[in-house]
This record gives sequence, structure tokens and C-alpha cells, in this order.
Amino acid sequence: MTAGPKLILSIFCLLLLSQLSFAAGTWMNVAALAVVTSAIILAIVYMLGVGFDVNELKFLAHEEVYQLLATIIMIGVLAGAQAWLDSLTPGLGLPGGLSFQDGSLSVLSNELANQKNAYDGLYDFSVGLGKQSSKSYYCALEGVGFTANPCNSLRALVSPVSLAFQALSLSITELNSLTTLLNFSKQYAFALLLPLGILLRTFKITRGAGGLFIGLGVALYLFLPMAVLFMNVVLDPGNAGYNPHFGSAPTYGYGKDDLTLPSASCDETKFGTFGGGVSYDNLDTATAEFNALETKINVYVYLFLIRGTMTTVVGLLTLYASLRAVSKLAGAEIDLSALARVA
Amino acid sequence: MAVINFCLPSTPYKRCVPKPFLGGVVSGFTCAPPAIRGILRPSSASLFGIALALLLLLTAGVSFADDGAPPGTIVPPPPPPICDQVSLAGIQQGIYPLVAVAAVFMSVIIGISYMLGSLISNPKLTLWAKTEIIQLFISLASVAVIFSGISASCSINMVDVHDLFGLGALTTGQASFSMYSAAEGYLVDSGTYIHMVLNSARYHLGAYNILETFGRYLCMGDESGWVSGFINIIFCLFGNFLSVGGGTGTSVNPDSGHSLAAPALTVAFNSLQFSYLSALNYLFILKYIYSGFVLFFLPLGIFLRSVPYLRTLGSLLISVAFCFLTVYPLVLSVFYLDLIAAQSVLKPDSPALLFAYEDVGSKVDLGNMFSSSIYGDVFMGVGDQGFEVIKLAGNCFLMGVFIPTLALLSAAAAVTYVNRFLGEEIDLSRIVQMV
Repeated sequence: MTAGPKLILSIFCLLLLSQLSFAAGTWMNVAALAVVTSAIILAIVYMLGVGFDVNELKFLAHEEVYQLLATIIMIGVLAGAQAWLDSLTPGLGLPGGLSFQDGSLSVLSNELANQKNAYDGLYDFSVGLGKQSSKSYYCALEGVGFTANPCNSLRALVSPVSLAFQALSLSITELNSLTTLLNFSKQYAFALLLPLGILLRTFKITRGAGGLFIGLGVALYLFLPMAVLFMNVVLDPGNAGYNPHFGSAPTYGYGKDDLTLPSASCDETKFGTFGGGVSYDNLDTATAEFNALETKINVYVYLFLIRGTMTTVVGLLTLYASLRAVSKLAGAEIDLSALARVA
Repeated sequence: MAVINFCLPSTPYKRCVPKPFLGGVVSGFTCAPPAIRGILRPSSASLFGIALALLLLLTAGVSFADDGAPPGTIVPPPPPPICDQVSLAGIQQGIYPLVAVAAVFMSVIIGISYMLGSLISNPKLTLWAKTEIIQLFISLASVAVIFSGISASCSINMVDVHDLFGLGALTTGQASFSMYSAAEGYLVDSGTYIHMVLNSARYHLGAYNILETFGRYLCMGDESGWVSGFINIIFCLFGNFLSVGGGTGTSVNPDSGHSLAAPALTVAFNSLQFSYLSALNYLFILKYIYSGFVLFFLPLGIFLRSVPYLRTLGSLLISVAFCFLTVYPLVLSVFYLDLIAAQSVLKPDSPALLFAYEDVGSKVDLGNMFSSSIYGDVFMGVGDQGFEVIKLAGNCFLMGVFIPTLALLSAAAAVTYVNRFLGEEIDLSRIVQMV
């Protein structure tokens, strides 16, 4: 088949796809514009090749027609995928029949609310802990006397609290990055990145950049929310993936009560008895607090490491893998190892 | 002087103050001073002059000013010198003679080779000459394509691009700005925003230190209330003398517990610092691309590509210059459309920005002597916004590290394709790993 009939075939395919443009929104219009522009340029190149009998130009036109066909097929597949996913979302059981994008955003929003409760719980505990552990008792007369810090033993909890804050900080930052990426994808992936990618892909010299934009648009819009929803389904207490080790199954959202840690308390005057013995009142209180903390610690670890960090890691890995695969499919082979390493 | 309003006008957190950023104020770019811009117009093709101009441009850094735009608007930086018609003409005047010299030089070599091949009936030489004449035309055509690409990048109005894709409202007060201005605007805006969040994190860390060291001596009564506080002071001062206390009591640091949250902020602070430095790094790379790549890499590449046996190097230089002049700013400029959107996703408004330019050292004074806690004074009644700062650190990482790295990688990937178009194959995987 020569380039002429191929071009006609391409335009015919485009006309067939045009009926999808109502379903897919603005991006299809821009994509159609890009394809038509490319077809016109190719026609000119082919005409020049025939007119001046330059084989290189004719060969270039032949090669590019295949690329044009590939672009049109890609547009069709993407429009179909978008429609299929939109039809799939009601079956996912997301609250209020949310769309694919909104569903994943809702999941992350709940996770961030949980993290906020955990942060507040830990913060409140720290405020009490710091104050109680700083208490000291002093007695002096004419420059002679003593100071006792019977509550200082509570400082033993400072290191684990510090570690918990660091883990929580990472978890919050990661989850919020993921939320921002999802928000960005909802707003721009199919509205800007994908059509721009299709536009750039139609020209040989910008095919690499176009492939990247297409890959980015698709990976952000389709694969990233999919990974978030997948993780949510796996980690849902009602599913087999949930580890029953955590005792009473935590609900989907952790309320503030679930994450409230026992208040630290200490009486600085109870450091000894009048008979010269040692008072164990504070020690008993501290032991009771440590025991109470132990029952909460698994919830915290689950929140920080599984719900926060692991969800983000799976999401980002899916993003990189899909970005690389789709970009390659769209004609741009990008070494994203550097980006993965940075993130 | 106009001010970038980082907080949305409708929100209650509007405390936007112009602050120095890279030696200027945050409200936008100006070009380098006229004297420096004059040097940037290469009236001759002297490499020494070009190098000197480049050095001066880099030393001049980035300066900021504005044109009196109303508050609440973002004024994107003006186009870089390569978009200035006079400068572009100057660059072309410098490069075109160089290209002509290279073309003539190459034509002579090809002619001699062809004549020699015909004379000694050596088909290898004549075939080489025929191949080279095509390459010569490709070299000449690439010059036209490159300058068309630069001109197109200068003339693409990103507001039109925004309208074409039907995106939401913009906050920009300027009707048009080029792709190059948008790319630069992205990095400046990102850097400034990250700096604000960094300031807020620094405020919190400073506040925790102050809260940690605030201590009270309770010689009599409890630790709460103004009256108890006053009685405590009286007893602490005179109790010993009156033998009614003073020598006995409790000391406590009532707010020291807040400082236990400092490790969380320290992690965020480190991440923010990295993001900030990364944004600056990518900004300087962009500034270098706007000047050094056009003035040095491009002419050198065009010349070398016309010289036999140096074609690979020449092609590489042309590809690098072309891709970094088009693809890298293109990716950044696309993301800039979000930063100037009325509802920016990457740069959200937040109560944490309230602390961006506050001085934590001035929040506590002698009046706090009777306070049982200084928490309310230090955090100005709105409370600790540590959680918000940590959240924003995630956004800042995306803005300062993730997106510019993506732009750089896409430019590096495009180099391979353009180089293939120019007839050479290169493997940039090693260089990419250095990113």
C-alpha cells in the first residue's frame, strides 16, 4: 500500500473515532486536531518527495504514516480505557459511588485524616510527657539544700516518641505528595498532558517528548489511582490481606479516641517516704502508662508504615513502571531510574 | 512595587510580604541591567566575547523587579535575552557567518575529494563526497530548524495554550508570556514558595526551642492563673526572708513537651532544604541553557557537524542544545500553568504560611513572667501548624525535585531522538544516571 491510501485510511479511522470525542471531552478534540495537522504535513512531505523525486522524503512519509496510524489507534485505546474505567468505578463500592479518581482521593484523604489524628494524639501525649518529666522538687535554706527529679525517668519515653514523630513525618509527607499527584492528575492528566503529548508525538522531532507526556498522562490518570485503590482493598480489615495480629480489627478510619495515648502523670513530691524509704507511686504510674502505650503501638506502626509509607511506595512504583511502559509504547524510551532514585 | 500573593485573595491567611530571593524581591524577574544586556549581544563571533558575556550573565545572577502590576497578580518573568529580537538578530549575525565559513570549508573539501576521486577513478572518494554533500545540506537545514524552534518557543503564548486546553481561571495579570518565561517562572515561583514553607518550618523549630526552655519556679500555690503566678513570684522573692517558703518548691517547664515534636519538623526541614536547593539548581541550569547553550554549544555544534570526522560530536552538541532549549522549558512551562491557576494544586494555600515571615524571637517578653504557658503567644493564637508544614513539605518536594528532574530526564531522552534524526546514535544512560 502506498502512502496515499494509508493517509486516507488514517483519516477514515479518525472519523470513526470522532464519535468518541463527545464521551472523552476536550482532549479528543485536541488529539484530532493534532492528527489532522500531522496528516496535512505528511501529505505535503509526500507530495514534495513525488514532485522532486526524492526517495528519502517518500520513505520518510511512508514511515510517518505508520506512526500516524499508531497514534490514532492509541487515541482509540485510551478513549476506550477511560470509558471502561468510568463504567467500572460504581462496582468498586466506593462511598457515594465516587469516580475512579475521586475514589482514590477519598481513600487518601481518609488516610491523611488518620495521620492527623495520630499526630495530634502523639503531640498531646508529648506535651504532657515533657511537662511531667521536667518537674523537679527543690529544698534550700540559706544556700544549703537539694534538688530531686523523681519524674525524670519519664524521659525514657522521649527517644521512642522522637522516632515515632520522624516516622509519622515521613508518612504524612509521602501521603500528601501522593494526594497532590492524584489531584494534579485529576485536573491536568487528560485535560493537558495527554492531548499535548499526542500533539507533540505527531512530529518526528518531538516524538520523544510527546511519548513522555502521553506516558505521564496515562500513568497519572489511570495507573496511580488504580494502585491506591488496590492497596486500600488489600489493607481493608474485611479482606484476607488484613493481618489479624492487630487484635480488634480497626475500622476504616481511626477516630481520635483510637489514637489517644494515655496522659503522662507524675507527682514530684513523691520521691521518698518520711521513714527514709523509696516511694513507688510514680513507678507504678509509669509502668501502667508503658503498658497502656504497648496496646496502642501496633495501631501506630500500622498507620505509619503500612497505610502511609507502603501505600506510597506501591503507588510510586506503579507510577514509574507504567510511565516507562506507556512511554515506550508511545515511542519514547526514558530511563526513569534517576527519578525513582530521587523519589 | 507589586507583590506576589501566595495566599489566595479570598482566604484569611493573607500575610504576603515581599522578601529577598536570590538578591531581589519575589515579585518577578527583570533582565540583567542594560549594561550587561548590551554585552550579551555578540556583535562578533568572538568566542572570548561570548565566554565573557556568559560569565557576566552568570555572575549577574537573577534579579527581580516588576512593572507596577496590582497586588494579587503574578507577573511572570520577561522573555530571556534570546527572545529579544535585537539579541536574537545579534546571535544570528554571529552564527550565520560561522555557518557560512563552515559550509564553504566543507564544500571545498567535498569538491577536492570528488575531483580527486574522479581523477584517480576511486569510487570510495566520490561516494564519500556525495554522502557528505547531503550531510552539508542537513547541517544547513538544522540551523534553520533550530532557530525556528527557538523563535516558536519565544512566540508561544502559554495563556493561549491554557485557553486551548480549556483549563480554569488564571491569576496572572499579564495577558501573554512566552514558554521561556513560563519555564523560568515555574522555578522562581517554586523556589519562592518552598522558601516560605522553609521559613515556616524554621519558625516552628525556633518556637519549640523557646517553649522547651521556658521554666517556672513554683514556690507557693499552683502553676495556673495570674493571681497564683503573682503570689508565686512574691513568695519566691521574699519567702526565704520571711521564712514562709521560698526555699522549697517545684520547678517545671510547662511547655517543654511541645519540643518533642521537633524531630518531625526536622525531617520536613531537611526535605524542604533539599527541595529549595534543587529548585535553585534547576533554575541556574535553565539560565545557563538560555545563554550558554545558544551562545556556545549551538554554534560550536553547527561548525563541528560540518567538519568530517567530528560529525558525531557536532550532532551531539546540536541535539543537546536543541532539546534543552525546547523540551526542558516546555515541560516546566506546562507545570507553570498550575502554579498560576486560581486553584493551584501544587501550591495550595495553608495556615502554615502565616508563619512564613514572622520573627519567633519577638513573641515572648517580660509580660510573660506571670504566664503559666507561652504557647498561645508563640503560635500567635492559631496554634502549632507543624502538621501543615509537614504536609506542604511533600508538595515542595514535588515542585522542587520531582518535576524539574522529570523535565531534565525528558530533555535527555529527547536528545537521543533528535540525535538519531541527525544521523547519529548515542547512549546517554550513563549521563542520565548522574542526575
